This record gives sequence, C-alpha cells and structure tokens, in this order.
Amino acid sequence: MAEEGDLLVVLLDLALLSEEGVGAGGQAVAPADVLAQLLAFANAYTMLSSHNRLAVYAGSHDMCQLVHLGLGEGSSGSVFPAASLHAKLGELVRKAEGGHEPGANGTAPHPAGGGRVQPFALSGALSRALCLIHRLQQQAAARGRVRCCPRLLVLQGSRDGSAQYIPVMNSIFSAQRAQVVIDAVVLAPEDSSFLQQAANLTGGLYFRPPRGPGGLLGLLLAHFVTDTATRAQMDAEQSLGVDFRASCFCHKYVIETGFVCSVCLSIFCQPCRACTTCGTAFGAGGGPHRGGAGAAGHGAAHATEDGAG
Amino acid sequence: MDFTAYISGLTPDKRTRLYRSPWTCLAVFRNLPPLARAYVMRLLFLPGTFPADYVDSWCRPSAASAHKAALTALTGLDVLLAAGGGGGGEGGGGWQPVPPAGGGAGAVPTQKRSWGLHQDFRAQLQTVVCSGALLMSGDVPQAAAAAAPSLDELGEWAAGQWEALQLFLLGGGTKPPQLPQILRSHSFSELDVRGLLVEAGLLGFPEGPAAAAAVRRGGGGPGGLAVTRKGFHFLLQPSDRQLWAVLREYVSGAEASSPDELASTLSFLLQLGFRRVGQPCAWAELRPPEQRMAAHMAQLGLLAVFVADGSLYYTPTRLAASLCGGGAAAGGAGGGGPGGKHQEGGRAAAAAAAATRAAALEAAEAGGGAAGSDAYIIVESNYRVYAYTRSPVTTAVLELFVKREALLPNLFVGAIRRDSILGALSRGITAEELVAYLGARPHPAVASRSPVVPEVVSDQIRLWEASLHRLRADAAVLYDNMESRALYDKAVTHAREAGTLLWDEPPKMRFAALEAGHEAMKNFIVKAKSDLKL
Repeated sequence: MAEEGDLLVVLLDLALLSEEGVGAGGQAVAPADVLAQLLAFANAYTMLSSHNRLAVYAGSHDMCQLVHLGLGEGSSGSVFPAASLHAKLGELVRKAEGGHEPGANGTAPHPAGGGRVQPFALSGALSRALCLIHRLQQQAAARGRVRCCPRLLVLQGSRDGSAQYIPVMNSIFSAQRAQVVIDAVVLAPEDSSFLQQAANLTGGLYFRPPRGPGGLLGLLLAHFVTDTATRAQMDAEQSLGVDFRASCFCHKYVIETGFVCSVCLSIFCQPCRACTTCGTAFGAGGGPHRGGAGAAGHGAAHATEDGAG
Repeated sequence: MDFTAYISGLTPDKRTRLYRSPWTCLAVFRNLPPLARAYVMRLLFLPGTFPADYVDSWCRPSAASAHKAALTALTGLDVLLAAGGGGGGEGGGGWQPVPPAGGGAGAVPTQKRSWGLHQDFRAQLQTVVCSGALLMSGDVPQAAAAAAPSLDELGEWAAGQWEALQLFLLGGGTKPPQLPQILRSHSFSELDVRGLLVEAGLLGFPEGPAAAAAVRRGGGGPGGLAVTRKGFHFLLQPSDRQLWAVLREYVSGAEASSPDELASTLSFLLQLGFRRVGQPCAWAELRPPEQRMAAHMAQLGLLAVFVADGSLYYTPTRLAASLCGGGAAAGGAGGGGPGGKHQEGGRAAAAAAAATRAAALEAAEAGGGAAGSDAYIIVESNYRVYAYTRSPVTTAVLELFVKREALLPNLFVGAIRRDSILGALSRGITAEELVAYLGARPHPAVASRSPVVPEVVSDQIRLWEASLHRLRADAAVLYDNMESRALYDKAVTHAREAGTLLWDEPPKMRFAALEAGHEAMKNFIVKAKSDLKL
C-alpha cells in the first residue's frame, strides 16, 4: 500500500525574526535565538521520517513568500532543510529591514518610531498555504495515494489585524472543509482571537507560551513534530477559552454585540438602512437585528431572528 | 529479521558503541513506532533522568496498548534506560545515570522507577537536530554535479544490479552482479556474492552440509546450488527487507572482528541511506576501508559511480535510500519507473520546478516494485493472475506459485491452482507471504479495491495451507497397565509439565506421550514406583 508522508506547512511571521518585532513583543530573546529554534524544529521534523514533507511560508504585514518546499526525498540540496532555510530567511529579513530605511525617509506608510508592528498578513498566508496543500493533495490523488491529514502551523509574533477578519475566517472555514488542521503558536503579548478560533474549529492546538519565545523549541518538539494520528494518542490539555468575538464588516472593530443581517449574516457595529454586503433594505425596525456576533454565534443569530423588512 | 530486530539482538556493549554514530542513531530512531518517536522528541532536550510515570502521563488511556508497545521498543533498544530504582533490569552497558539537574526535583524515591534516554543516543540526535546539515559534508564541483547520472539511470542501475542478484539466487544460470567497470579498472576487490548468499543461508546444497563445504572450497559449479527455504522467503519479501538480509550477512564479518569495526561499518552503510538520491560525493574523501565497502555497495546497486574531471564520484541510489527509511519506505525500492522525467539541471529554487521534480520522483517510486521490479499485479476472483512486468525476476517468482498460461513481452498471465500453491507451500513458503506478495503491487486499476486480492482467492490459499496441517505424525509411546491411580496421576502430571503429553484417558488409566521424553518418563515412573512402594 502506497503511503504518503505527513505534510506540514509552516506559516512564519517575520516579525519574530526582526529586532523591532521582538522588541515590540516585549520578550528579551534575540531574533537569532528564535531562528535557531525554528531551524532545529525544521531539522527535527525532517529527521522524524524521510517521508515527512515540510513547506515554509514567511510573511510580514504586506507580503508572503514560499521559502522552503521540501517534498520528501525529492527536495533539492541537503536532506536537512536548516541550511537553505537559514539562508533564505536571512535574506528576507535583510530585505525587510532594508525596506524600512526608505520608510524612515517618509516614503513608506510604515509608522515611524518602530513602536507599533504591522499585523501579520495571516489571510494571504493561509490562503496560499491552503492552495499549496490542495495542489499537493490533488497530485497525490492522481497517483491513487491516500494522504494523511495535512497540517498548518502558524507562528505569529504580532497582534491580529482586525481588518482581515472576513478573509481570515473564510480561510479557516475552507481549511475546516478541506480537513486541514491548523495549529498555532502565538508569541505576542496578547492572545490571537483568529488563531484561537482556527485551532478550535479545525481541531488543532493553540499555544501562547507564557515564557515567550525562550522555550519555543521545547513546545514545538513536544506537540508539533508528530502527525495528527500520533497526536491523537497523546494527551493535549487545551482548556483555555476561545475568543469568538467578531469584527464588524463596516469599521473592522472587534465587537461583542452587534447587528446581524438576517439574509447574509453580515455583522455591523451600528444600525444601518441597508446591508452593505447583500443590499437587503432593512425596514422600520431601524436596521439589522441585534444579536450575538461571531463565528459561533452565526447559527443562533439565524435561528432567532425573523426576516428583514 | 529487520533492522530494529538486529540492533535489539546485539549485546548492550555493542549497542553502546553503535550509538556513537549519528547515522546509526538516526536509523534506529526512524525505525521506532510513531508514538515512541514522539516520546524521544519530547525527551530529547530533557537533561538527566525522570520518573517513569512522567512518560506514562503523556498517553491517553485509549492508546494504552500503543504506549506499551512504544515503551517496549524503546527499552528493547536501550534508548530508554532504567536508572536507579529497583526496576533496572535492562542492562545498560557502560552507562551511568547522570545526577538529575536541579537538585530538589531530582530526589527520586527508591521504590519509584526512573528513566533516562541513552546518553550517546541523545547527544547524537541533538547534534542532528541542531546541525544536521553540517553532517553532510562536502561541496562538489559543478562539473561533477552536471555529470551525475539522472534519476532514471540510477534507478535502472540499482534495479539491474539487484535483479541480477535475485536471478542468480533463482538459479537462472546467470552471473551474480558484477563490479562496475570503472571500479574494476581501479582494481577494487570484488564482493563474493555467491559466498555471501550461501553464508546467509539463502543458497545451499540439497545434499547436505558436507557437499556445501566441498563447494565452498572452490569445487563444483553454480549448478549444484539451489535456493533454500530461507531463500524463497527472501524472494517474497519487500526489497528493503531483502536488502537488509543481505547486508546483515555483509556486516557479520565486521561484527565478528570487533564491536568498533561493526560500529564503523554500520555507520558508513547507514549514512549512505541518508544522503539524497543522486547527490554526488567525492570518492577520494572516503578512507580506504570505506572505499572497499563502497565498491561492494556499488556492486549490489546501492551506489552508482561515475567519473567527472578525471576523478571518481559516487552517488546513492534509491536502493540505498530504502536502507533507513523505516517501515514506510517499504513500497519504494530501486526501480526506475517508466514515467520518470529527467532531473532538471541547476539549482531549482522555484517551487514549481521542485514540485515537478518531486512528481517525477514519485512516479518513479510508484513504478518501483517491492522486489526491485516494476510489476503491476491484478488478481481476479476467478483465480487468474495478470502481472504487467518485464522483469525476469518477477516472472520467476510468480512461477513459484502461479501456473503460467501465457508470457508476453510485458505481461505475465497465469492461474492460481491447487497444485501450484501446494508446490510453493511444500517449499516452506507460507500462505500469508503469497497473499502479501500478490497484494503488494496492485495495478492502478485495482489499487482502490479493498482488499486488493479478492477474498475468495486469499481464503482459498489459506485453506489449502490449513489442509496441509490437519494431520501430523509424531513418534509416541503408549503407557498402559498402571499399577495404581496415584502412579497414573503422577505420571500424567509429569508428562503434562514436561510438555510431552499427547493424549490421556483416565477411566482406563492409560496415556500417550512423545517418544522424545520416553527415557525421562521411564526413569520417573521407576522412581515414582519406589516412592509409592509399589
């Protein structure tokens, strides 16, 4: 019986590797240390089996790039990915920091002072990774092979960008449909609502290590090198609450209670005359109905509210 | 006999030496069950020892059996060692438990078991994780990289050499695999394939050991040799197991000389398996004993050699890669598939190029059969077998248990018949092996069928086997006319404990036992009689 190796796609937030990003995260760990831990993880994952496939996307607030695609034994270069990964990531980080210098001159929209890090472009990275997984799975299916559960591991070092709410949630739902497990490790001072929901909906694991990036390798080795089948045999205590709050479609504010269009379930933070998404005109009631917003609230909102207008 | 079984069968002292090589450690690690690998990963950077229930707490209650199997595998290989405590049964060679770091937490109560990873093993794996890429030393000049044979050529070479070995074993009147011409001109000694196969017990003389010894001295032609029972088992196994069976015999010489010799030999062989297929390496960088081994491996098809810029290079083939791929590699062996594309030259950084190449590689892998050939087999429920193959080895192996009806250039058509299966069974091949062989390389048209071999066929093969085992004849002795019930009971109990009791009938006070135990039984009865004062 032909067996396919495990497939792991890592989405790496480059903020983790830049001086600025880690400084903003408030953790006193040098970017070089974070990088070393990531490379060790990549090696360890390859070491586990010669059939393990690793792909790495690195991204920041405005870009996302495939930096490594090791397809089992067919990968170019050495069997262990660390060296080539190191070179490519280093180049990306240099490029990103080089890009900041014109920013200091006032041409780029990057906020001066370096205090605020732009959020990671999670939606773009997720969709590219899902496309890659889809393509690889189709290739495998064409050869009549059964692929085991593919995984996505998101390493995020910056806060969520609430403006990305809709595309990120759509990606998460696609992943859920494609049975792709999303794991997440967040190394930012606050929890990531997006990734909590992603892990919760796809059956993945979500961690925000209290010690910051210092113990990253231990965490990665303990939970994220093994495939999902093996992981199912091991315990995983996940008793944390999930932040299900949604962002409104009009101003991208994170809200707890909002107005929901009863036709298309769009969420708004304030009453409006017509739904901006589907164009439904709301009646004298003053707009869409007030209800619980968010991914988990969709069903409930739909059930309790009657038609608009 | 696979790699793990071989390692766990060595003495702890030899194992400790083996664990000084990163390649051996890596190969051992990859052959562990998945849960055990996950445990090793968690323990890898944990200094010192830890209480046993720490590991026990990792596994869900529903996976208790997998957990137990993982721990058995780990302790059987000395990867996980019992330290301190009372449970230190696993003899840990020269290993001394390190004092637990951190003082207070390390105060292990004596009645509690505590575990520790094998120190050398842990250190080697840590090296691989932290600087694995550095272990693959040596940049090769561009000319050598360009002159390297394509993946197709490598596959053909590996398959050709390995098939030559199998054909030789089957007695097709052919020569064993030969040393590559390039190496022959460098006057490297040839590996005595026939001697190796005879030593491994795969090839032998039907007459008896005396004749075998006579021919080993040099007399007699290859015609006198015949495949042994073990040889038939060998032919039906997937090729990574076949490879290991041969290499196991190859390293036995080193094993006999000294543990260090064994460690370096194994380490060299295994590191070949971790190199990327098609990656050229400079021959001159090898030490002389390694060059000798590499020449032998080239002869077996694990390596291919080529000349670039006047110097010699070698590159591993897929056959070498199957050495340490673990169980999952069973399907992909040294076959160069018909659909494989040529490897793109240069450094393909673009993802698309890498993907295309990988697809080509996988197509090649899909074509690679378990026995080093590109066979696609269809078994129909009317007992007919179609095998799409050009390989004389596959045809010859199939003819062991399938009656041939037609042989076309790329197709073997045959039928499974009672007499053909019984013929194979009488050679010591088991029904399970036959069914596994037929199901191992399904044609794409039937690959989605489950099971691949129709149940009516597999059941019938098993029934034919079972019918051979219905009756068995053993020489036995009937004990009758016992003087007393007490004597009878004692004798029966004794026979049952000795395992020789075949049948007993208490009302008539008689029983039958194996003849092998008759002398002991006689003595026992005489003694029992005197005890009972009869």
